[in-house]
Formats: sequence, structure tokens, C-alpha cells
Amino acid sequence: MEFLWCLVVGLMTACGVFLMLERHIVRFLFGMILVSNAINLAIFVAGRLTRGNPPLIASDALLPAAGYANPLPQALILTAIVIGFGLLLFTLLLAYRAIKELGTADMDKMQHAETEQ
Amino acid sequence: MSSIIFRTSAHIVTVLMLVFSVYLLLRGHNNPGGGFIAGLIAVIAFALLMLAETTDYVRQRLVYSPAAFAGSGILIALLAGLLPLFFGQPFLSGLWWGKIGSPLLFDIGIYLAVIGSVLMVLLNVEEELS
Amino acid sequence: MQNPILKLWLAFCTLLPLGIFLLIGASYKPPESLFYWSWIPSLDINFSLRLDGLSVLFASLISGVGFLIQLYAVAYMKPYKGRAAFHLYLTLFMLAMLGLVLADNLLLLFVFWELTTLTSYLLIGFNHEKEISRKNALQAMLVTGSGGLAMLAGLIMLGEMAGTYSISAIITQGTSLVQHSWFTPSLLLILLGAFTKSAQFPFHFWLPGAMAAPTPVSAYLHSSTMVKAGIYLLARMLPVYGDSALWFTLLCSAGAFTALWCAIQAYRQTDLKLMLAFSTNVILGQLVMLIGIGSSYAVTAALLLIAAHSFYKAGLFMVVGNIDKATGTREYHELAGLRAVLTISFIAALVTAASKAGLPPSFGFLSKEYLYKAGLEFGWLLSGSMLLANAIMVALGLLIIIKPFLSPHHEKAAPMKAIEHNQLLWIPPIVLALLSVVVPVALLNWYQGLVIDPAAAVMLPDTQVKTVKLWEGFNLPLLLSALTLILGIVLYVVYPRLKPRLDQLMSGLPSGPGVYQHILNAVIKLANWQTRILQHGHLTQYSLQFFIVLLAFLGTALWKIVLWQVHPLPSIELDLYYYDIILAAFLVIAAFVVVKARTLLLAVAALGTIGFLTTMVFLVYSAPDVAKTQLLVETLMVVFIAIVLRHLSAVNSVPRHSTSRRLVHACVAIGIGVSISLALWIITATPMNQEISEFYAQTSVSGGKGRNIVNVILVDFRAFDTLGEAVVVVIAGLAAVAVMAGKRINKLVSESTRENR
Repeated sequence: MEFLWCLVVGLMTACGVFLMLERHIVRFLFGMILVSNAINLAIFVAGRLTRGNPPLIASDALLPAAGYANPLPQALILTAIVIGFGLLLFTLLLAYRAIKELGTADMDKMQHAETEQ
Repeated sequence: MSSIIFRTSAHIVTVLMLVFSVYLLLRGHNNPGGGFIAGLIAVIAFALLMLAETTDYVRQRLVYSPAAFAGSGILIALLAGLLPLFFGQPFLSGLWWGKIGSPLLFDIGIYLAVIGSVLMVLLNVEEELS
Repeated sequence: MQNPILKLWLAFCTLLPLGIFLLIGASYKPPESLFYWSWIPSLDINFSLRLDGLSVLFASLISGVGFLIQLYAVAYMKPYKGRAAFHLYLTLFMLAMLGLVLADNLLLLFVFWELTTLTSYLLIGFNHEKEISRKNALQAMLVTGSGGLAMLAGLIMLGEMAGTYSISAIITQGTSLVQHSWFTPSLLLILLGAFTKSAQFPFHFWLPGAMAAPTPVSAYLHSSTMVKAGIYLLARMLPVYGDSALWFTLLCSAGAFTALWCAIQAYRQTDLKLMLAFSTNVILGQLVMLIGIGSSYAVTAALLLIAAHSFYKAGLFMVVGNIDKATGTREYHELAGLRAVLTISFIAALVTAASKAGLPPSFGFLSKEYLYKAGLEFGWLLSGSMLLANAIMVALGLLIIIKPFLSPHHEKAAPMKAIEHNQLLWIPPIVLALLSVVVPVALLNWYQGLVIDPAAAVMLPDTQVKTVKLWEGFNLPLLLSALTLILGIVLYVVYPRLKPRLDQLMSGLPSGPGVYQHILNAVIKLANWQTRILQHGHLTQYSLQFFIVLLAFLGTALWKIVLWQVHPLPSIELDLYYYDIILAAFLVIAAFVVVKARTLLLAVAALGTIGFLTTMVFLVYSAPDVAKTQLLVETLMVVFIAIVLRHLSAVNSVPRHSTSRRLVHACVAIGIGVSISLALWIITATPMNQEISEFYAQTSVSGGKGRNIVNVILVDFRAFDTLGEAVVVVIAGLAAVAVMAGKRINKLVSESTRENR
């Protein structure tokens, strides 16, 4: 079943990269969100998929039930999601500011900062 | 967004969500939950309140500024890390006294840091844009 | 010198080299003393210092002459701005130089080598308000710095060949490395470093350029330190490379040619300081040649010449500095009758110039005798060219004495003032003049036992050197000396008629600085060209370039795996439930909707859908904590985007790229997507190391006292990561607020500046 998710991750990445190459800065941002979602999934898939056996330990046991899901990638993705959220917020507001300051959402017209000096 | 039903229910829901977030925070060590999740739920609770009332109202109810929440969160987490040093253990080792331990303190720090930083952005964005 | 702190600082800078000099004297136990501190043991880089015959010669010259230079500089730099900084640079340079000659590790030697380049840049460019100083300092740094980089490659090759980076260990292996295939490349690279540093043709031009520095710098750098670093390196490497024919050919030809060429250049100069600079090149050429010959006589001559040159050249530079101070010019035809005001300097000049010209019984005479002895072993060509170079030295020595000091006062002569009431201006040169005579006359046995024998033992482990004597009776070298003297006097006499002819002859030749400038301009042009290509200011092309490079990396790595079957491609196992397929299908459809959506609102909705579907994936595959976080983050993200987009309604009219460009984009995107899929597929098919995860699962209850393993990892096992991450989130939040608040700040700034106007 990992194979299916490999395909999905690849397709999501491709869509995200295509969006990141567009001229509209908001669509660039959407591409970034899509890619970050896809990469989180990729880490998850790389740690192997397990159905219906979360890494929790029953209250009367010392060890999780056999065949438990790999907890390490889960911890990594959890932090990655929150960090990614913080950085996307920053990027979103940066894009907003750029649009307001430069009066355009067209990235190819955003040469103000480089040509001015 | 200013229908009286929404405004009244928003207050109740916010309180319920905050209680739920504290519950998730405290049980996070043994069941799904924890500082990040609880913090995000608390932020959504305040977002709801912000939509029903105004940003000023939310700031008033918070008493301290979101930046203070974020800063104190980091400090608490750091403190939880420094505590074991006094007991001759490495930085951030877990210390336990019965059911209470320094990892819980650490999680509370994370909880406050998440609430503070996200709420800080949310309130600012809403104020700037309207 | 009213400022007590400045006074203290100057005293410190002056006494430090003296202290080091005494320390070296006290800790030197022939044949060698070792000092060792571990630094980066895993890379075989250790802070190890070694004091043997060769390094003790250089180290005592550096610290001893350094002491005199610091003394001289205290007086000379008095009217200058920033003299405290000047002494700091001089001290730093001296320490770097000491490190260079004491280092017993190849890489440590390189570090100090580059430090001397850096600190000499500060010294040469000290008068940084003048453009010529800046330009020449940069020139010196670029030439010696690039040579140093070539040398680094050579040193690493040498270290790898020998299997150790310890210089003493490499030297004990001697000439056994000749067979290695890296022998010649490493030899050439190290020579490049030594030749640039020691200003050998065609890299000689930076040294006269460095005369833009204040005179104490010239006196120090070009007598006993900077330029001798290359000589030191060659002397060190003699036991390793000395037997190869290439070493002999390259060093002898480069050294002899440099000596001859620069002697002619020195002969043409009118500025006394430039004259001395070019004659430094001559001595360096002779030293390189001597080390290239590498015989017992040659090594003895080199060891004598290094010290002799340090003494008389530093002394002469100081005398020229005094002339400059007294008259404000260094052009010899503007100088006359200086004997009257510079009496003691005149005596110092007389003795040091005699040593430069090689008159008995000076140190210069002694080293010249041995130079001829070494040259005669290899025929007339080398000795003949040395004879001519030395004859020019004699002519220059005469010129430096007669023109400024003895010639009668004439109309063009610059006005002069008395400066010798400041003792520090004449004590150092007179000490150096004394040394130029006392060492060969009275201290020769001592010098032999302390320096020549142990140093020669390092440079030529198998050969015993003969005892040096000042007077060995009438022999061929003495005859050559006499010939040199006569030729020198002739050259001095014909000088006024010969110089214009020489100038005419040389005017057509390309000059070193000119060629250097051409190369530098070409490099700048290249840099401009590539900047125009890569830094064009079109943001979307930047991202396109980025992804193309990413694709190239991913593609080549995967291509290797697939093509050469490093890993056999895994078989496809489909163990699917219906909800897997539904989730996957919806995810893919939603992703395409984001791409295809013509309104931002639809795209946001599709993105939200993707977020919630991802949540479902996490939930299905046993990751409840991740699922919850994803759900909450997605909710908040949509809230934020909705708020921001509400205020960006008017920006829907951005033109799209041309169809062909978008086709390229599609290819790049599909390429990256396929690479990611393939890479992930290969990863999931290789066996996984579960060790860490199992450790966490097993110790979660016993060690972490928690039953949610993911949470225990976050707050206990890997809490340091989590702490860092919380800090990042807070910083990102602060930055986001700052971005939004920027508008208010701008407004405030513009309002306040308007009020001020």
C-alpha cells in the first residue's frame, strides 16, 4: 500500500511545484502549502504505514501492542506541521505586504527592491 | 457575523473549548493530545471569540499581551529543562514526583508558546486589515 | 605621547618581541624542541610547534628584527593617525609569522601562512586613504593569497602521500615519496605558493608595489619576514623534494632569472625605496637558486645570506626612512649633503651598504663568497649571472651612499631638517649595522654551532657541512668577489649614460602590474557576466532555476540507482482497502483543482480539502496526534488565508506565462514529482532500522512515565528539538507581526522626517 501513497505524494509535489512556478504570488503560496503537505506525507510514508494500531500503551501494560505504528516519524511530522504553519503564516503576510507595497501580485513585476539600488 | 445567536453561543463555545484544551494538555502524556494540539485548540477558541466580538475585547479578556504568553511559555519550557541540572542530571531530563513531572511543565510551556505566538499574529492581522 | 594607555600599549608592543626572542633563546635545545597541543585530532591537525635549527634562525630573526622595527616605528609613526592600530597590526603580523616558522603541522603552517597574508594586507594598506595603497595592498594579497590556495592543495597532497600531516614525520620519510604519482603535482603547487610569497618572476611585481606601506613595514616585511616565508617553506621541503631534477631546474632557473631581471630593474629606479625593494627581489632569487642547488655549500650560503640580508636590508630601509623624514623625498637626484644632519644614519648606511655590496669583512661578503662557491660547483652560467646581479648590488650600494650623503649641495636638492635628536630613529639601524660586522668577525663559531649546523642537519640530513671561515686565503671565489667589485664600480660610473638606454630598451616590455591588472579586469568582467545571467531580477526565473537544479540533483542520483541497479527495483505490493483508494483519488483530484482553479476562493477551498484529507490519511494509518495537529493547523490556515484574501480582491488580473514556458514548467514539475515518487518507493522497499523507535516504545512507560509514545518523544526523549521548535514558532510569529507593522513604522518614519525638514 506504500506504493499507492508514493504515487500520491509524487503527484501532489508535482502540482505544488507547478504552482510555485506561476507568476501570481498567492498561487505560489498555494504551491508551497501543497508541497509542504506532500513532504509531510512523504516522511510519514517513509516511516512505513500501519493500520489501526497507534503508538499508545494500554493503561495496564508496559509495552505497546505488537505491530504498533512507528512513533518516531509521527513526532517529527507533528513538529514539522507546527513549524511549517508558523513559516507559512510569515510568508503569507510577507506576500500580502509585498502586494500592498508594490501594487501588484505579479512576481515578474516585483523587481523594485533589486533595481532601486 | 453579529447575529445575537452567534455572539451568545460563541462565548459559551469558547469557554468549553478552553476547558477542553486544558484537558487535552493534561492527558496528553498518556492519550492523544499534548501541548501543541491543546494550544492550537485554544487559539481557535480565541479566534471564535474574536469573530464574535472585537480584537480589543479579546485582548482585554487575555489581560496580558500574546507576546507575553509566548515569552513566558518559552521561559517555562526552559525552566523545565534547567530544573534537572539542580539534581545533577543533564539538561531537559525528566523529573517525576508521583504523577507530576517536569515534562508536564515543559508541555505547559509549549502550550503557552503556541497560544501566544499564533494569537499574536491573528490579532495583529485582524487589526491591520480592518 | 601624552596618553598613558597609548604609552603602555607601545611599551607592550615593543617588549613583546624582545620577550619572545629571549624565550626562544631560553627554550631552544639543539637539535630540536617540541611543543604540542591537541587541536583537531580526528583530522590529524594538531597545534604542534617545533624549534629546530631552521626555525630558530627564522624565529629569532622575526622576533629580534621585530623588536628593532617596533622601536623604530614608535619614533617613525609618531605623526601618523592610528598609530596604536599600526602597532597592533605589526604585532599580529609578527605572531602569524612566528607561527608559520614554528608550526610542525602542514595545515597549521597553512593557517599561519594565510594569516600573514591577511595581516600584511592591513600593513601594506595602512595609508588607506590613498588609492595607491589600497590597490597595492589588494594586489599583494591577491597574488600571495591565490598562491597560498594552490599551496594548500599541494600540502594536502603531500600529507596524503606521506600519510601524516606532521612536518617532522614527513621529513624523516625523506625522498622516499618520489615514486608517488602525486609527487610532481604537489611539488608544482607548493612551488606556486612559495614563489608568489617570495616574489619570484613572474610574481615579483607585488613586492615593489608593497612599498606604498610606511617604511617600518617595508623594513620588516621585506627584510626578514613576509618574503622569507616562501624561502622558509622551500628550505623545509628540501629533504622531501631536493633530489628531484624538476626541483633543481625550476628553482635554479626561476631564482637566477629573478635575481638578474630584478637587479636590472633595481638599477633603473630613482626612488631609493623602490631600489631597495627590487634588490630584495634579487636576494630572494639568489636564495631560491641556492635552495634549488641544495648542496652543502649552497645550504651554508643560504643560511648566511638569510641573516646577512635581514640585517643590512632592514638597516638600509630605516636609513631611507630617515632620509624621507628629514627631506620629504626619496628621489636620489633631489638629495644631497645629508651627512650634515644624518650623521649617525650615515654611519649605519655606510656599514649596511658595504654588507649589501659584499665588502669584507661584512656579513654580506661572507655570504657572497659561499654563494660563488656553491655556484661554481654548477658551472659558469649560474656564477656568471650571480656575478652580474652582485655587481649591480655594488653599484646600488655606492649610489645609496654617495648621492644622498656625500654629493655637494646643488640647486635641485630638497631642504632638510635635523631629526636625529630622536634616538629611536637611529638606534635600530646602527644596531643592525653593528650586527652586520660583529657576527662574521667575532661570533662566527657561535653562529655555526647554533644555526648553521643544526639547520643544515634538517635541510641535508645526510651531509656534513664544513666550518665557515671568513678568510680562506686567495681562491677563485675571492677573485670573483674582486671582479664583482670592479664591475660594480664601472656600472656606477656609466650609470648616467646607461640608464636612458636601458629605459628605452625596456619600455616595450609588458609590466607585471599591467598584466595583473588585465587579469583582474577579466575576472571582474566574468563576474559581471555571470551575475547578469543568474541575477537578472526576475523572481519566477529564480524559482525555475532552483527547481531545475533540484531536478538535476534528484535525477542524477536516481538515474544511477535505476540504471546501474544499485538497488533492485522493488516489486509493487498492493494491499489496499476501498477507503485507501477513495482518499488517494480525492487527494489527487483536489490537488489538480488547486492547479486548475481560476479563482482564488476555489483554490483555497481545494487546499482546505487537501488538508482535511491528509488528516484522514494520518488517522487511518494510526497517527492520532498528527491527525489532530494537522486538522487544527488546517483550520487556522484557512482562517488566515480567508482574512487576508478578503483584502486582496483586486489582484486577480495577473497574466500567465506563455504556453511554451508553462510546458517547461510542467516538465520540471512532473520530473520532480516522478523523482520523489521513485525515491520514496525505493526507500519504502529497503529494510528499515527500527532500533530507535523500539527503544522509545520500550522505555516510554519505564523511563518517560507516559503511555502516548509520540508525546513522550516530544516532551522527554527529544525535548531539546521541541524547545528549539517552539522558539522558531515564536520568532516566526514576531516576524509576521513585524511585517504587518512595517507599514505603520514607515508612516511614522516618513512623518517624523517631514517634521524635521
